[in-house]
Amino acid sequence: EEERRVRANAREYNEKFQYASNCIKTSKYNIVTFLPVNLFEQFQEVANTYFLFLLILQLIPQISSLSWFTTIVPLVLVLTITAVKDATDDYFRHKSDNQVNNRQSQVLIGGVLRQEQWMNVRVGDIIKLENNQFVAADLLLLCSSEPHGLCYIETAELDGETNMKVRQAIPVTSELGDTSKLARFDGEVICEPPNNKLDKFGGTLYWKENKYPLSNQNMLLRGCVLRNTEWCFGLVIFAGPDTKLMQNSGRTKFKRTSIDRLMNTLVLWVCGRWIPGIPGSGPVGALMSSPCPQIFGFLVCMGVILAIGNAIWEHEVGVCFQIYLPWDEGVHSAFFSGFLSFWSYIIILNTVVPISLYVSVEVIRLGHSYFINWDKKMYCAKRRTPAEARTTTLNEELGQVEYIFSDKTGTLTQNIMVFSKCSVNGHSYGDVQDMLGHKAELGERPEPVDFSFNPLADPRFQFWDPSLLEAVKLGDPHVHEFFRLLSLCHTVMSEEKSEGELYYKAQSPDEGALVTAARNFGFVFRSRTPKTITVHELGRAITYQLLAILDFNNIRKRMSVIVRNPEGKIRLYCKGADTILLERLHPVNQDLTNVTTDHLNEYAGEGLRTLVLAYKDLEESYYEDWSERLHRAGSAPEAPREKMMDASRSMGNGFSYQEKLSSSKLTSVLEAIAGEYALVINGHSLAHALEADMEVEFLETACACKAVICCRVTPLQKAQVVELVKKYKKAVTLAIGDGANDVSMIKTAHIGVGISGQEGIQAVLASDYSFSQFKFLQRLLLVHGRWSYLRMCKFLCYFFYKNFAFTMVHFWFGFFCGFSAQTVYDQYFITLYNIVYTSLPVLAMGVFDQDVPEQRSMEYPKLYEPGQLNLLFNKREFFICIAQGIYTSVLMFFIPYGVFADATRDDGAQLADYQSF
Amino acid sequence: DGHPSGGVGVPGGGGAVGGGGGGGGGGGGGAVKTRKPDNTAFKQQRLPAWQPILTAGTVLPAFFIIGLIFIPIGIGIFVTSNNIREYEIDYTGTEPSSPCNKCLNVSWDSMPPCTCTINFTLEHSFESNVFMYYGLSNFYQNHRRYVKSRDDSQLNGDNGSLLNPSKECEPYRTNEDKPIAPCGAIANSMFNDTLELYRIDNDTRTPITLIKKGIAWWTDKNVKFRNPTGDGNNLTALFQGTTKPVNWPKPVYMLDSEPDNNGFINEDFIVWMRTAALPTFRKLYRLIERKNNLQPTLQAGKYSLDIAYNYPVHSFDGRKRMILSTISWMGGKNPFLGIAYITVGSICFFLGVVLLIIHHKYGNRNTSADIPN
Repeated sequence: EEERRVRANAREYNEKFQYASNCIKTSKYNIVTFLPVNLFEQFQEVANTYFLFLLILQLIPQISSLSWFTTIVPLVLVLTITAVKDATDDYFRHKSDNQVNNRQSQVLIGGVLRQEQWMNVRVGDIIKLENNQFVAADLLLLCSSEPHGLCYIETAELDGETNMKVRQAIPVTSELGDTSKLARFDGEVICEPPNNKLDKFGGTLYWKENKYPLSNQNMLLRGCVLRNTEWCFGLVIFAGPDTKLMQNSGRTKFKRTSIDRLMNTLVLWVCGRWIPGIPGSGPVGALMSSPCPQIFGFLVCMGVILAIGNAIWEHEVGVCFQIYLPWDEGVHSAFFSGFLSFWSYIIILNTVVPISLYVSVEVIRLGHSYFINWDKKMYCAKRRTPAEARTTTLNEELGQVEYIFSDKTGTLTQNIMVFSKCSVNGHSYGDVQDMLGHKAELGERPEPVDFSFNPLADPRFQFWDPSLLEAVKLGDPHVHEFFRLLSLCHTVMSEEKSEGELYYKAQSPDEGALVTAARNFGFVFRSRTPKTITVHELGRAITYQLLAILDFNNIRKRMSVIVRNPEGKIRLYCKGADTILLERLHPVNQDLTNVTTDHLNEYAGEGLRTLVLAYKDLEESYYEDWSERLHRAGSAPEAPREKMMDASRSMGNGFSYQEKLSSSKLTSVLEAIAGEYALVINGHSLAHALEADMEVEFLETACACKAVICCRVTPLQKAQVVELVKKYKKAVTLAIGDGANDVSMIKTAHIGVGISGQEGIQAVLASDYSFSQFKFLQRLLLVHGRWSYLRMCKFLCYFFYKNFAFTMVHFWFGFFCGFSAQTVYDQYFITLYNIVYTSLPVLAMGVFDQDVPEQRSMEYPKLYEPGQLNLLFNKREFFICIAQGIYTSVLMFFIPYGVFADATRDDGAQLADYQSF
Repeated sequence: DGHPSGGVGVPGGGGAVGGGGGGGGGGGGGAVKTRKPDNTAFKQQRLPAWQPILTAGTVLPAFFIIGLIFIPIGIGIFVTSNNIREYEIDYTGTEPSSPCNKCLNVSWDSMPPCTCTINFTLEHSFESNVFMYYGLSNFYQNHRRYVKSRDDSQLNGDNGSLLNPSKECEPYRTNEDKPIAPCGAIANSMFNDTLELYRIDNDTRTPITLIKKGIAWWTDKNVKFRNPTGDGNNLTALFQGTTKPVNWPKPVYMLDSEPDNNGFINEDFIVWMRTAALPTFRKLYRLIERKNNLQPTLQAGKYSLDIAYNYPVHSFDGRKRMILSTISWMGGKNPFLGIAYITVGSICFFLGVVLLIIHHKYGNRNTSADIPN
């Protein structure tokens, strides 16, 4: 599909494109296909196939050294449990599909509104939505009950953000207020094909021989909820599986866990690091995969030795022994017999890596995850959220983390923004002063400024410098302009429950803090429509005409509005990062710029976040010209559009004000960083440092330092830094963050930790572990991670030890039974050895073992080091385990051998018979 | 809403997110739990635990105690084992001087059987009951294909299996289109030398009574092995329609004259069917009971062993032996166990002494350095 053409109210026309209907299907099976499909999927797992292969070997009578039930019992058990789990999952998917597909919506058919089920909605239909209803498909908003075709939506389902967002119909359609007009609407939309970009949409509406550009601002996406809007009409553009929501939802495919990958390594004999749950390679893999080729190699080795033994035996002894034991039919040479016995021994020796290993590892990981979820000490009472292990496969990696990548705002800091200082026209306000006008020390704060003159003030806001309020009252035009800008240039939505009781809904906490500050100083933002903003300036209601909003994004790092005040003057207000704004200032203000920069640096030195505000008066003609260009660019691709907006702004502007926000207390971690050598690098330089030829050098420099602080970096750069460390250092990386801009970093690192804080839940959704306070990270790593690593290592050692001790007995017995792959133990014993007899001790140790109490591991971080150096389970440790197992098996075989070889019962009967032995 | 909102999440500016990224979401992210975790010992990982810490105070006594317990046990077992009388004769006949050398290359069906006599002298008298064994070497009764080559349900008297033996018995399942009873390689290779013992007293040969019943395990004789059932007790009729194993000179229902020791429940047969675990093994052949308390069962003196040599072992370098042995409370002669106990006990004792010396010499230096870290 190159582009999508949709004509309103024309089902026949749209049908010829065969767009997907609005019926969604997330389930994988139905009753008939369940068994074959599910089994097929399960046998795509190499582990399962491997055991199936063993089973087939066991069914060949010439080879079978163990009867088939020794493998089939555990295999069927595992398959059944997985199948039951899949079946229940799918049942619930069926149920939810049905429920969603059968939701009712009002569809305009033939000029009449009809109730239809969601699944019967077609592309090109016009449907009516009412307040608090879910949007049924991706719609082009045509008109709504609110003026100017405005409507509000909540997108929590899509991106986790709980604030409301505005969508607006394009002006021509916003007048189609009633059904009769809508029924006659026959515009045609040509737009991009279905994709998963939630924040982009490009298309054009052709109606009455006019072209109208469409953007994401005109779209209502499936999964959103209509809020504060009585009704609205929308044209279905994408339906069902084509909607952006469904395009984004992960394919419901068979999840490959690390266990499977371990097994894959084992079976395919691929050396090297295998890749666990999250992208990138992990040391669980290293932890477990490194010995696995050896195990497999070992298996083959033993098999070959015994097979050669068999061939020799058959050649030397077996040939002569044929008077009592003739060779099987079809076996004509000792060599072939040896070949068969190789497979027989593979079957017997495979108990060193039984299915129960994979099951046990899963159980242990699950147990560890539950311990994380249950930990009372990682429960945040304030937000009522416990820690959550969202993946079960990475617990032991938590004990091996070497590099931590942390987002600062909202993660290290709590992301509560407060307006604390500002510098207006070269004058700095906001220092806490005592009676004598000296800067006060912290702790002896005087009374905060009294905002009682302003009935609309927010009582929670506090400010300690009365001079700023005096400047407002005295009518300093610069200060007025400063607060006017704050009250106009933002995307905050206001909600007035009752007269004077204002609530602001801000997308980011700093915007909220700024608008609140302006509100308390008498510039109260009351309400907004798409075309106007109403502000109470010192008690006087003024309505500004909103000509344009150029929203904030990470590339431009600034936000601007263009407004026309009641006098008719057009002005551009802009706020943004100092680096960006200062270079766009008019050179006339050089002196002021210098003073302001000094102030900025002073503020920044105190650890405050800074922003620069600026404005520029625009000529009517200039604006006309600009908006014309913007309009034309609207339907063109993104890039030139961005450029044009830049061009308009770079004309420079008057003077700069500034203002700051205090971030709340930093945690000890940051202080620790500041103490030692630290490399500080900003986004600009980082871009150079990350170039191909520089990156190794950068990494070496960075690693020589105790800590590296990268400031002003884009989400992509964050991920690149993580990738860099992953690429050159074979170390476990952990990324922790709370916002959408950390998602890429969280996904790139071996372990991603999300803080369920203020900036939505996107980070949490992408993460492997989540909790609500940064300080819990210490406990997660030092206590849970360390224990998990320790337990997993001990478990693996113990498990391999016991299975080698068990299995190698067959190897020794081979020398006494003509290498015929006769087992020493009874078959039931072999079957149950791993499932029943020895499963609980290893499991208990793997789940519960604690070497030191949790307090100790918190007190002595040095205890964490063995994990980082991977001391507890590496090749050496593994071979020690195996050696011990082999030693045990020698004892287990030769002591009974010595005892039983000539033993008789006290009634004279021989004891050295096979069954007794 | 029921949408599976799996990997929804679009970072503002950063596009390329490495890899599949499907890793997250182990559990359904839907239901957000807001409840506080329970404060139980289990969930908070505060279960009571005990961790043994090895110190000189625990290790040294343990070594000494093990040593002191094991050494006497070992000595006791060793002495008991040494008091057991055992006499062994190899009658394979590979040496040209051996009387049985002439029989070395017999075949199964040589009629009449090759016989030979070996004279021997017992230096000491055998006081209590004497057990007579035959021993085979280099005979792989534990070979996988050998072990499985039997049909247990046939041996248990199942009439269906009698006429249609299990496939495991191949190639000794049928002969000339008749099912073999008992089938399989084990039964087919049953030991069939006949051994007789004579006491030579002033050139007169007195036969010694050999009891052939009571040599099999009770469970084997009464549970595992049963003759087929049918009308009457005539085994010949019950085994109608089957044929004898290829190597056997006579069918299974002619193994013995006594009806409760004939057919599948013949004890020699049962003993043979209990396969040995090792290629060198001995099996109980006959019992010699002590007649009265005044005389030893076998006095010191001259004896002769008459062998009906039917069982060929030379082709695979096998050896045949006859063993006479008495039994103590711990079974037959078995020095290994006693030696093993003595060895382990001595090692423990020795280690204990070494550690004690080390502890005495260096132990005081850093007693306080145990705990930290």
